[in-house]
Formats: sequence, structure tokens, C-alpha cells
Amino acid sequence: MKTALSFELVNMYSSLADNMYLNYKWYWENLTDWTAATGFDSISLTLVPNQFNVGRGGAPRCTLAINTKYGSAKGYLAFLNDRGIKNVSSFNISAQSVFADMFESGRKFEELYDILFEHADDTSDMLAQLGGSCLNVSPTPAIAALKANLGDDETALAKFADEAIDCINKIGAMTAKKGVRTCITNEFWTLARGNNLDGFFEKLDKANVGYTASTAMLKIAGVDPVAFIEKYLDNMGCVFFNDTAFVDKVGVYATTTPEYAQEGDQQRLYRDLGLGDVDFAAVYKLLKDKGFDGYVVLEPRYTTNVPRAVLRTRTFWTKLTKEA
Amino acid sequence: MNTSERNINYSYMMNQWGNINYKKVRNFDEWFMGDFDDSYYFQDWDKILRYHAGAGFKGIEIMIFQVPTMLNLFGSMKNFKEFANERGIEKISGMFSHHIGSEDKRNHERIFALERQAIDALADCDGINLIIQPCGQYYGTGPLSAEGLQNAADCMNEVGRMAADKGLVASIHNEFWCAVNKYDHNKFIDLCDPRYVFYCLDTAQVSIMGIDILEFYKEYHERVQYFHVKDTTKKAASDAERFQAGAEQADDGTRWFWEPGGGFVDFPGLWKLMKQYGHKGWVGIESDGTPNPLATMLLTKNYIDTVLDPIYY
Repeated sequence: MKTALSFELVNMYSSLADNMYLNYKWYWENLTDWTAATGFDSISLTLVPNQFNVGRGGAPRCTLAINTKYGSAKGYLAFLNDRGIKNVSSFNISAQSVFADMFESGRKFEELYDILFEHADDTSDMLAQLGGSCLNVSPTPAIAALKANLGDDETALAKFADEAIDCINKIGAMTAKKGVRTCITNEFWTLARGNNLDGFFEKLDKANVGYTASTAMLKIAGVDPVAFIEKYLDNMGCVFFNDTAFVDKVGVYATTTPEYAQEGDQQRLYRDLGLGDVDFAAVYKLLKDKGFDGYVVLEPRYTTNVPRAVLRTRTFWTKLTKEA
Repeated sequence: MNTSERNINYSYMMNQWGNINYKKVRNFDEWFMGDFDDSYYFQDWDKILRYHAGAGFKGIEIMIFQVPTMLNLFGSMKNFKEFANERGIEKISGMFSHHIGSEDKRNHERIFALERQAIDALADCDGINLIIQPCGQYYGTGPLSAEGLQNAADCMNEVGRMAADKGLVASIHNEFWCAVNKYDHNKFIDLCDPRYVFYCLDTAQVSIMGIDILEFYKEYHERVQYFHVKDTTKKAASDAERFQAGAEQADDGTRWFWEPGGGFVDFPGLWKLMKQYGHKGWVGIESDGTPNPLATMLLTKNYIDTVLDPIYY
């Protein structure tokens, strides 16, 4: 198996005291250096639709920003290579980010999957040039956002899920021609959460569409990550290692801020790798025993201290593989 | 001293805190144990509002991009206002918005739809000023043709009317990196309808553009309804610096904006003019780019107390 570091360790919208600097190119170039210094040679990026405020900054968060700051995907890859990073192994895009962008873009809810397809077309072009192999696609906006637009109507939600499946199949066929594999993801706040993925996956074209798992997302949805990953291993794109100690006792998955619990004893969803209670030794053993040859993406998701988390991630991985 | 006893009161822009994702973070240990850092203190509206009130700021200003999350957290902007009032914030003085693509009439309906949301949100929390970036960045857009500049002004005029209908005041906020730039600055103001479109003087942005803010204020003081107070060490940046891609977020991390007193802007001179013209209302403080919002906030308050208030308050 191969490893990559997810740059979604940075929470672009966090309120930490140096938030403004997250939009500066130098910040991300420093992060790239720290990534290489800790022995990682591949990264995974989360991209949002092109829009003004992201596009004018230096964060590699949309294709517009990358093209503007580095001239092209080729220019960005040359920069990464020069700093010791050989490729961008995967991009992560989501229907939720398309939905969230509608407030400022003025686009309509009914256009969501047209926009997601355009977004996938644009990002997969760039991913192919960056040496990536997986376009990970989160299929629906958050459940609370859907209910706000569709009502609490099971029939409407099921119809919406079918639209999502159609779109993912189209994206899969489109990216396959570029040598990029589309993989559906199942964050705990989407319609495909936890075991609900089964209903989605049976309708997907397996020739073009795989599955990318995230350990924390599965665990928060109440699913055993080891058993779930094993079930889908033949179709696995990447496996994201992210950690959590959160137990969803209050139904945070269906709230308007699912990654930020407002109620209940616990409010923090993610922890740096090794500080939560995901059984990574078991996940790693499974992947090793089964000869998984894809990317394990290490993601200290939304850490509260980025440089510390990069160092911790190297320590975590060294210890995990040594003990195994 | 109560806000009603002062001619000017100070409001702090919340953009340096990003998009605040929690209403109230309660459990210190959940964030501290294992990490031993200060993240518990900087993630929720509860504490951030109390920092501002505790430092003596009675008003805040918000960004349009914060609105969806605020609605998710509080249900309505009215509820947010009540939450802020309970913590010592008396006024949500304004909201910052933008007119990206306004030089092209085909984008106007989209911009109006965005601004309808902004105006409704600001009115719901009893706000006053809608502060508007008139166009996108210069890079890729400027220089504007005469038609493009007129289109941007038409867009601003329509939004000004929409704001006035809800009892709000729309103001131009001219960034040093905006497609409306130094060579069009006064012309653009003159193209806008003085009945509906006013001006927010950002002391740093306009200085970096190469305009003397004291001379500008003398000429346009009747249009200047609001201020964004911040300092800069970059006087009259070159065209190349202002027109580069993403100029405000310098590739090398250069800091453009500083707390008042940290750069060359003549704030005492400006305050003397404000006194001369009898300016009344809220004055916004911005701390874009500070690596430490709390330190900057306290330095700013000290500057107000020791330098500005003795001139005019």
C-alpha cells in the first residue's frame, strides 16, 4: 500500500487565531515542505467549485487558484516535485460544497447535479495531470440541507438519491476516459451514510465507480470500519485514516452543522491520528493481509495545530507499521 | 461612557475569526487534554463576542459569507442579535458584501439575488451599513471600460435603492486590488447616485491605492458615512503590486494591514477632520491579516483611548 497526507487536515473555516493566513500561498508551500520533511511523497486535496474568494487566494482549494498561482496543473506539479512531493494522489469533491456555494453563486438547487458534473469534469482534468488516480465524490448535501429543500419526505429523498446515483455513474464514465477512477464516499451526514451506502453502491456501475472509505466517517455513523472496509475491499479506491472519539448520541448527523456538534456531552468530532478510538491496527492488518495496493490517505482531519499534526501523523504511521 | 453619549462608537469586523462554527463550546477538557493547546478559546461565538465586549467594543460587523452558518447556528439573524446583546454587544453595525462581475450587466440579477439575502439578514439583526466591494479583483478584470464602470455603478445604485427600502445604508468599499482602482476611484463615486450610495472609507486600502485619505475625506465627507479603520506600512503601492493575481494575499506572506498606530496613516489628522465635519455614527475596525486578533484588538483599544478619543469621541 502507498501513503499520502490529506491536506484536509486544515480547516479553512476554523476560527483559530491565524485563520487569515490559511489563504496565503506561502502557508500551503510551507505545509508542502513539512509534508516532505516528514517523509510523505504524495498528498490528497479537497477542491471546491471555482469562486471568487477561494480563486483569488493561494490555497490549492480550487482549480482557479491553482491555475492562477502556478499557471497550470503542470506548473503546480513542477512545484510539488521540486519540494519532494511526487503527485497528488486524489481529489475530494462533494455535493455539499456545491450546495454551500449556491448562497453566493446564485445557482439553483435544481442545478446541483449539473454543477457537480461540471465540477468533476474540471477537477478530473487537473487530477490526471497531477498524477492522481482517484476522484473521491461525496454524493449528496447534508441531510439537514436536503430536508430544508425537499421536506422531510422519504419519497423525495429517495428520488434525490437516485439523481445522485445517476450523476455519479455519469462522472464515473467521464473520468474513466481520463484514466481517473471515480469513487463514491459516505460521510456520516449524507444520504449514503454508514450502511446506506449499500443501496447506492448496488446501483452504481462498478466498471467505472469504486468506493473510498473513511474510518472516522464510518465509526461516527455507527458502523465497524474494519468489517465495512472488508466488505468493499474489491472495489476500494483509497482508504482514509481519520480518527474520532465521538459517539453520536444526539443525532448530530441530521443537524444543520453535522461536523460541529452544538448539543450533547461531546462537541469535538475529529482527533489527530492515534488520539481517538478507531482501531487502526485492525484496519491496517486487514489491508496488509489482503494485499491492498491503493493509497492509504492519512488525515488528521480539521486538526487544531497543523504543523504538530503533520509530525504526529508521521509518528502514528511509523508506530502503526512497526507494531504490525 | 454609554454609546449614546458619544458622537462615534467603535465596531469590530469579525472577519479575522473566519467562519465561526460553534455557538458555544462548553467542555474545556475535550479540547485541551491530549493536545494541551488553546483551541477551546477560539471557536465559538459565545467567547469571541465576549472578548470584544470585554475589550470595550460595543458593536460588531459581519461578513456575508458568515450568514449561512449563522442561520444554521441561531435560526435567524434576530436570534443572533439577541445572543450578542446578552454578551454586551449592542449593535451589529454592518455587513460586508461584494459585487463580483458587476462590470457585466448579465451578472446583475445574480448579484441582486445575493444582495437581497444580505439585506434581509442585515435588516433582521437591526444593522445599519451594507459595505460593498464594487467589483472583482483588478487581475483578470481591469482596467474597466467606460461601459464596464457604468455597469458597476448601475449595479451599485440598484443595490443602494434595495438597501434604502429596508432602512439600510449602502456604501462603496474600494479595495486597493479591486477592478475599480486608483484611476477610476473618484469617477466611480461620482457615477453612483448620492441619494442611495455612500462611501465607507477604508483608511489602509485607499492609502495603499495611492490616495491621500485626508484630501479625499475633505472632498467627499458628505458621502463618507462609515469607516474601516486599519493602518498600513505600504504607502501608494505600485500598479504591479496592486494589479497582481490575488494581490491582497501576497504570495510571500507580506502583511498589508496593521492595527492603528502600526503604520503611516495619519489617524490624528483624520479624527480632527471628523470633529470638524461633526461625523456621528459607528466606526468599524478591521484587523485583516493579523496573526493574533486578541493582541491587535487590545492594541487598537489602547490607541483609541490614548490617541483618538482625546481628539474626538
